[in-house]
Amino acid sequence: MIVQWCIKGLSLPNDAAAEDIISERAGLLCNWWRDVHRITPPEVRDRLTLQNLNFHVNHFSSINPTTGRPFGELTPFISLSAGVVERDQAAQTNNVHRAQRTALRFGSRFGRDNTAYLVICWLVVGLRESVEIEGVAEEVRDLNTYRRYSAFQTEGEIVAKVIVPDNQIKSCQKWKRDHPKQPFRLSHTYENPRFTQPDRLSNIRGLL
Amino acid sequence: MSLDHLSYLNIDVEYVNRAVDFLEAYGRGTLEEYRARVDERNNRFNPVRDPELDQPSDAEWVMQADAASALREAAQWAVFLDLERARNLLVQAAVVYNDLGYAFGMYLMVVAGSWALDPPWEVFTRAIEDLRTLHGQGAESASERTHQQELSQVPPPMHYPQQQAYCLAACTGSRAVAREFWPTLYELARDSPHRLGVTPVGALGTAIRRFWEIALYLLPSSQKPQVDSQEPQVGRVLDHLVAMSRVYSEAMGLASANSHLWRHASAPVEPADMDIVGLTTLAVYRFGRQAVQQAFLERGRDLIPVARTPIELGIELASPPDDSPQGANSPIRVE
Repeated sequence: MIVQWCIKGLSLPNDAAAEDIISERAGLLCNWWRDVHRITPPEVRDRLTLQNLNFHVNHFSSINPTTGRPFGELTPFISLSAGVVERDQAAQTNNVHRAQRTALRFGSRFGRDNTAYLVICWLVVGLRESVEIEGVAEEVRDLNTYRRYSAFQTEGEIVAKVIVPDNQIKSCQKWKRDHPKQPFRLSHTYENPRFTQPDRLSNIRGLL
Repeated sequence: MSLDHLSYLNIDVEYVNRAVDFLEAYGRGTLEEYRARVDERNNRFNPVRDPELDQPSDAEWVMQADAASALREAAQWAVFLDLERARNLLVQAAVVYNDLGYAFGMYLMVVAGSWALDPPWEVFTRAIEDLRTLHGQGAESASERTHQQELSQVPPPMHYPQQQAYCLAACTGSRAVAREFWPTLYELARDSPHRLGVTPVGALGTAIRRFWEIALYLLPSSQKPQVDSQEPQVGRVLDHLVAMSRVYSEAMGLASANSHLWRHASAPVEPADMDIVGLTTLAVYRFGRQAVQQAFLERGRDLIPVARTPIELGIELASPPDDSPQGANSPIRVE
């Protein structure tokens, strides 16, 4: 397993909503939890499946015939961006992008809004497919679906399950631009006083 | 019409506009961030002049590469809306790729910039020498140590076959360079193992052999007495481009299954694939618009509208700017 820094781009109604992400200490919740307000462990087990992950990644806005609602509205997964910045891959594909770019794009509703909020956090990512394991995030780039139509996975997408815990969130940043043709600039950062550094998970032991 | 292509792809022009604006602004902002960081490093008080401290950091490389990628992605969307803006964006991306040592930058400058007709000779001379070194040409009389020294001077990205493919296409795609270096380029194109290679290149994973063959056939014909096939070169180039377009069409079809990203012009694919678009543009420069259109008509009859998109965009992109000394409608004439 690895510890991966990620960014979640969010479109929020106002700064108060951004502050609430930190102050309410709830972490980042999946759309399913936010919709039903209360979930149980057996329900979580039932939803963490490869099929649902496929729906989340590839059919986010398609209608689930079981619920009559888009898959994305009731997904137990949370997509975040880790970026694609490997030099080897860059020389082969001419493509690099930081997580910040993807997060700003999603957070601004694909460029529609002049404000975007970026949540900076870390996740524990499994090195192999482990969709049933709640505490470990998935690397979407390893899903066969993307490999079939793109020789390079440009999103650098990481998928967390059900929740990104509060103490894994470092901060929530507000980014703004004056005009759609201007770049976004960092406007304000809401730091999380309860943030826990991931190096506590390190397997490197110091000399005694 | 490029807007028709967006219609075939079922992508709203409004989302494409937003994508171009966002990506161009992001690329510009990232370059500003990069320059500020370089200035800070250069202005840092370093009395010992420790070379380690003066080296570009990984973070700086990431910023440059991120900016180049964003500008390129903006350009490939702009091709559908505004060809002049697309060319400008491709040139902006090319400048950064060149700074990073990526031959992809040379390719973009020939496709969209001034290098097709007005190449910087020192750049191409060095690039061709690098290609020769990487292929061991001219190394027969040199010692192994000399050859290793020469190899170590080649920019790291050029060691990748993919960058060599773009480099060769840039060289043979530039009229003046093709004329000046014809014997060397022909030998490289003909004898390289990449001519039979299957290394994937670009977003569509095109086998490098296709790039290499296209580059070979972009060379002026009158100095190639041993062309294997009797078909005109333009036909062979279009054979490859049509084959690439079929793969492109399938990729777009699969990508569009994610309607959420597809509608918002955010799927991890490039509808104006710069490999097909750029190589088509080079073909127009070489053979003339009419010859390329005729060859496409003959070979692309059964292509669906989506599959026709990148070749048709490449033909449109090759329209000359008003002040070009030679039009894209006139093929190369070897004097």
